[in-house]
Amino acid sequence: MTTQTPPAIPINTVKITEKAASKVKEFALAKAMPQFGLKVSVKGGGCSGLTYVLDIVDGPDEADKVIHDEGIELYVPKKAFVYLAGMLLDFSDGLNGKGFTFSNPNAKKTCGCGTSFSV
Amino acid sequence: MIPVTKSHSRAAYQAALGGAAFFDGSHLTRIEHRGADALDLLHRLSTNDLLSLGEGGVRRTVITTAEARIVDVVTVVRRKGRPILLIGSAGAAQRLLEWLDKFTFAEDSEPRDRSSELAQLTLVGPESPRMIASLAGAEDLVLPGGACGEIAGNLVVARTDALGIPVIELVSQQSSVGDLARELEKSGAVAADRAAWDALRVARGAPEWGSELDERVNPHEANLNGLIDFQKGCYVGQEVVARLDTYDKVQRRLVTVRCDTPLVSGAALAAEGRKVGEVRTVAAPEILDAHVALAFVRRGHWDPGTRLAVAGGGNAAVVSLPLA
Repeated sequence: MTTQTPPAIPINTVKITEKAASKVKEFALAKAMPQFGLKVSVKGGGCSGLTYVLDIVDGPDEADKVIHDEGIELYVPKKAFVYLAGMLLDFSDGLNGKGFTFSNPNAKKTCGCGTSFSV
Repeated sequence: MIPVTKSHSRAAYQAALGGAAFFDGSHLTRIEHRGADALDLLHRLSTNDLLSLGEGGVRRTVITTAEARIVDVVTVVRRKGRPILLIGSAGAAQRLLEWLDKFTFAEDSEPRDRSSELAQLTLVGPESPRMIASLAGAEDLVLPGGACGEIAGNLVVARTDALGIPVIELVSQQSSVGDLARELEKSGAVAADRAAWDALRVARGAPEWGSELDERVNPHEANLNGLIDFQKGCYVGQEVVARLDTYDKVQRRLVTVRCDTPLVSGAALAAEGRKVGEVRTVAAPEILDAHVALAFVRRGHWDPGTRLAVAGGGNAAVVSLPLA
C-alpha cells in the first residue's frame, strides 16, 4: 500500500479536490438546491477537541470567508478559519472509503475516526 | 460571607449525617449559561450525558481537555424556562468562560459569570429535603436527587447528592442569603464551617479543586468515575478517558488513609522505602476522632487495608469508604 502525500495548500485558503467538489454538487442536486455552497466549519467536541462540520447551504453568513474552488463556493466562518487554513478537503469512496477526508496542517493530533482533531 | 454564628465543627459534621447542616458556598463559581445550544455544547465538552437532562434536572459532569485532564467539575442546573445555571469550583469563572469560548463557533451560547451577584449555601443531610419543603411552604414536596426548582421566584434549589447523602445547593441573591441562613437555622439546620466540610469530604472521598483537583489530574484518578458516561459517544477527552478505563492504565487514585499519628497536607506516603503517595486534605482529628486524610497513592497501593509509612513517622492504612 502506498501513501500519497497531499499537495501543499497555501495557508491563506482552504481547498477542495475535484472529486469532493463533484460529490458536493451531487448532494446539492439531490436536495434540489440551485444556489448552494459548502459550509466548512468546526465545532467543539469529538475526542480530540474539535470536530469538522460540513453542510450544504444556500449562501454564506456575514462572518464567513468565501472561497471559490473547483466550481463551487466554500464558506468558512472566520473563527473556524484559524483552525482550517491550509486544509485540503477530499472524498474517499468505495467499500472501504471514509467519505469526506480532511488533510489539515493545523491538526497536531487526530482521533481514531479522523473527524476530530486538536491544534 | 454569610453570618455563621454558631458553628461547631463536630456538631455540624454529625448534623450533616443525621440531620442537616449548611455551608457557605458563596466562594464557588456560578455561571448563567444562556442560548439554545448551551446544553449541547456542555455535552460535547464533558464526561456525563447531558442531552438526556430534561428541564428541572441537575447533573454533575467533568469538563476535560483532549488529554482528559480536568478543567473543572461542574453542576449543570437545567431550570424550567430559565437559562442553565452552572456551578463550578471556587475561582473557576475565567477558566470556564475561556474554555467555553474556545469551543464556541456558530453556537447560540452565552455564558456569563454571576458569581459575585449571587450567593450560595450548601445544605447537607437527610433532613435537607424536608427543610426545602418547609421553605417552599409545601410540607409534602419532595425534591428528589438530580432535580431542581425555584422557591418564591428567586431561590434556586438543586439537589446533587454529591457526597452520597442528600446535598442541596441553594442559590440566592446576595441580599437575601442572611435571611435564608436564619430560616435554615430556625428549621434546625446547623451552620457549619470549613473544617466540617473538609471532614465530610475526607470521610466520603470527595475531591475539591485546589486541594486534590488541578489541570494535571484525570477523572479516574480523582474518584469521579460516577460522573463519566461511557456510552455517550464523543466528547473532548473521551478517547483518553475510555482508554484509561479499557486498558486499566490509571496510575494513581485518590483514597482516604487513617494514621496513628497526626497527618499534614503534603506529607509523603511510602511503601518499602519508596514514595508511593502524598497526603492532601487532612480532616480535623476532633471531628472524626481519628487522624484521616485524602491522599493520592500509586497503583498497587490503593486497596483498602494497604499499609503505608508516613514521612516523618507514623503508620497509615487505606480505609474503606464512607467513614461513619
